Amino acid sequence: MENKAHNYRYIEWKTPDEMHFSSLQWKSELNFIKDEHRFFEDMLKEYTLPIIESQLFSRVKELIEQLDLSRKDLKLLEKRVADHIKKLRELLENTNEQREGHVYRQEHKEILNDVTHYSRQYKRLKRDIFQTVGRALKQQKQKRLLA
Amino acid sequence: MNRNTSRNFSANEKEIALLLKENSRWKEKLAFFKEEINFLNLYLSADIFQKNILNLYERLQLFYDELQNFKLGCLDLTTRVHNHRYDIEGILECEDISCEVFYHEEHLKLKESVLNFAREFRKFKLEVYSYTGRLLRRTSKEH
Repeated sequence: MENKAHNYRYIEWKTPDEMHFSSLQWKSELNFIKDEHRFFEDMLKEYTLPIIESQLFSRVKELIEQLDLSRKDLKLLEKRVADHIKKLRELLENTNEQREGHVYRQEHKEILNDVTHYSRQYKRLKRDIFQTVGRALKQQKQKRLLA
Repeated sequence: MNRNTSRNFSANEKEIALLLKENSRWKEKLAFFKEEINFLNLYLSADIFQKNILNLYERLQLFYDELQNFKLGCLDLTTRVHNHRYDIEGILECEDISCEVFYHEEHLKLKESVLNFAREFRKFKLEVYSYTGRLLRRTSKEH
């Protein structure tokens, strides 16, 4: 899906400290997603019984592939955020230079745009996982009740 | 219908538009939390975990109970966020500064509540993932 770029005009008024703070929030959000990826991957790969029984195997295979792509994108995004944080930290620590930060504003905007886009895509993937695994769990429950 | 998009908005109207936008974002966030809660409800009560794990059912029950609290909290916040929308629109009718300040403070309080809920819920999810993730049963013969 196309990543529609937003202008985020308010960033023009952000100080380097504020940009640094936002970047740390992105880092924390991406770290959480990494843990969640691991959980969903284990759930989809290991928890095979109800999935095979519910004939959702091919759908689950697709989801595992999407999860894999999402993990690769996450890795790239994490690297960009980490570099950005490093640059902002250097800017904050360097008292001789003017702390304008305008050099990093464009980069900040671009990363914000990509983090937002990534989060949206990831939410869609999570919704698909909930639906598929939810269906398998419900079918398994019904079978148990009928047995 | 032809809409005049070049109309000038007052500072107050612009600010209200921003508050409303933030309100919509909270609403979206809470709607997604609700979906996550529903999934975890199903997940925690499913017969998918290994059988002979010490205190497994007690732990699952504790998670389940905590999840019900999150469910109630999410519902309460959703109602508050929904009602707050009318407060924001009401700012335009304020006749003095103290009235505007009051609604702005209400907005900030609600923002803190939503952020706090998100933080706590994230912590809870991580606990569920790290405890249950390794206890999933792989085959029907596994106990």
